[in-house]
Amino acid sequence: MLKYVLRRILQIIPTLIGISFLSFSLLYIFPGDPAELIVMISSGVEPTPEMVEKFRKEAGLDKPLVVQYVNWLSKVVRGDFGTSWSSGEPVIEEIAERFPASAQLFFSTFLISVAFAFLLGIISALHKDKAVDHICRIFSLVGISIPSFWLGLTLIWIFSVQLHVLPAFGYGELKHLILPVLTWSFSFMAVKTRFVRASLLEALSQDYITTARAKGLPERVVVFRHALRNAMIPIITYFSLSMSHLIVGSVMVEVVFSWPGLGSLLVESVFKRDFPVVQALVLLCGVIFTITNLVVDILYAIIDPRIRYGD
Amino acid sequence: MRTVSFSFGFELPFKNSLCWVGFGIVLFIALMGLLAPMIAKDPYETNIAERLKPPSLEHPFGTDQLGRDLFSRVIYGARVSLLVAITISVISMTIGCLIGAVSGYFGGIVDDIVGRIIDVFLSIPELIVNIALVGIFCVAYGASTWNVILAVVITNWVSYARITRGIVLSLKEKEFVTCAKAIGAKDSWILLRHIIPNALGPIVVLATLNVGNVIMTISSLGFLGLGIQPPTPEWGQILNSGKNYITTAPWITFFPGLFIALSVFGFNLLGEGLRDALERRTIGE
Repeated sequence: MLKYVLRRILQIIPTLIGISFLSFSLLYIFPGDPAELIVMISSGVEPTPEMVEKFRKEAGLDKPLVVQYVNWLSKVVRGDFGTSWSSGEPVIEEIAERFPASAQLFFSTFLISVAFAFLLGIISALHKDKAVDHICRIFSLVGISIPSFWLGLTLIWIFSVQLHVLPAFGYGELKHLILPVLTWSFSFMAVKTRFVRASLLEALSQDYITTARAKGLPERVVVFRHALRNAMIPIITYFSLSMSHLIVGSVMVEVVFSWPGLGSLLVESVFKRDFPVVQALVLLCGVIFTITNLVVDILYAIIDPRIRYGD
Repeated sequence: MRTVSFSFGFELPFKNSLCWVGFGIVLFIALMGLLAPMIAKDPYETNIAERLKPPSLEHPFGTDQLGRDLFSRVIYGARVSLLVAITISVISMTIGCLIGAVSGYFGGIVDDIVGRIIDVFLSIPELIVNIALVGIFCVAYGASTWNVILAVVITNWVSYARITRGIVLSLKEKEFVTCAKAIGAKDSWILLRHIIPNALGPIVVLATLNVGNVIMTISSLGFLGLGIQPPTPEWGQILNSGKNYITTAPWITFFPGLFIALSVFGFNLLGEGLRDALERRTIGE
């Protein structure tokens, strides 16, 4: 068991290095001189060569790229993502300030979408190729095809402009949460419904299901006790992968409803050319995803010995 | 059952009506883009006297804040979205399939590195990287449509590489490849003449679904104000300019959004239908 855990941890190290290098290079893939650009953006004036030279020395931008990367990484692992170019505050504080709003939106959407995904996915799988299955399929295809920003604006038009029942923006109360969660859930559950359906159908086609049915077990027991339980492994893995949305959430939904989360922070920072913030958000997204993935894998290895010895 | 044969080797049953609906929608959007000059008026012509007018016979979709005819802008928008989305998909497909095929076929350290790169890109939502990249490119090169194309290609090739690599890994152990090697065929010949043609079905399915996804990405960037810049009529960007008029002129946001949804839906239906047909053939074997 310990060997499996160690091997999985070793496996994610190259990925983590890759993610950190990708976000590091976001600032250095400019065709021009990053030092000049940083001075220009943070001071707001056309920089003199002396200013640029001085900054280059101070920030260590005159060193080889690898040295710069190692310096940057050693700060990042200690939680120091640098300071924001626009506010001068530490980046990590800006992120911490916006995180609760993103988390609130994400977990509300996640709970609602998962509940509906299971409901619709199970109904579809049990009525495979029947009318109800086709309706669920079209519903989920529509869900992934409708742009969330358009759905959001349309809901604002219906519920805020025409009916005056819900606010179009704002943050803090339950009524502010309803429209954003509704908008995001629509696309969020669409993909997940399909996945629940497919996993359950896969489980239902196994030999042990035939055995269970041959034993004369009631269909309810076969589906919920035998098939669904086995289908849970891929389903939970897949659902946990959406954790990367915890950080930046749905950018589009946050922007439409002026939700003060990390998604709108990302877009604001891009417009303010505040690249240290952008860099930190990209990095955090990738790291959270990779670590969730690792934790889920290890939990499964504890529950299901087949996984430990599998590969 | 009547069937239509496709050159890349799988049969598409007429029974699969959803797929044909998808094909119809895609054809409709494509014709809209192609025939735009014949159906629509000048999408750039402003007329302040006619601004924010609701839909009427003269302006079926109403007019925007500058008095431009929205019907014409939406029709020309099909041309912009399709052209950019197909460009992005073709570039990504070429790069992705090549990298995936080479990596899967030769294995070793190259494959390890490509595998890691794919993992890295899969761990960050694509749109987030796209937003960051477009922002950076704007600073470096100034705003242009090429920024959007480049930023989306950088994340988009990965799905092609992943699928091609997987197929090549499973095909290279097959007898026909061993036979080709035995008669002394070169690696490049085996890849181009034996492996890639066999991988074409899944790649076509992926490409169809991908064009839909890319249309969504472009319009999302457009809506954020980071995509194709005005006055070019791009659906997402028209929505962005109309969102401040949602109380007085909701048609500015309604119609372009409807067409984004319609075209993405069309490509998704078509792609899924093709995938069903492909799976049915594979099971049939």
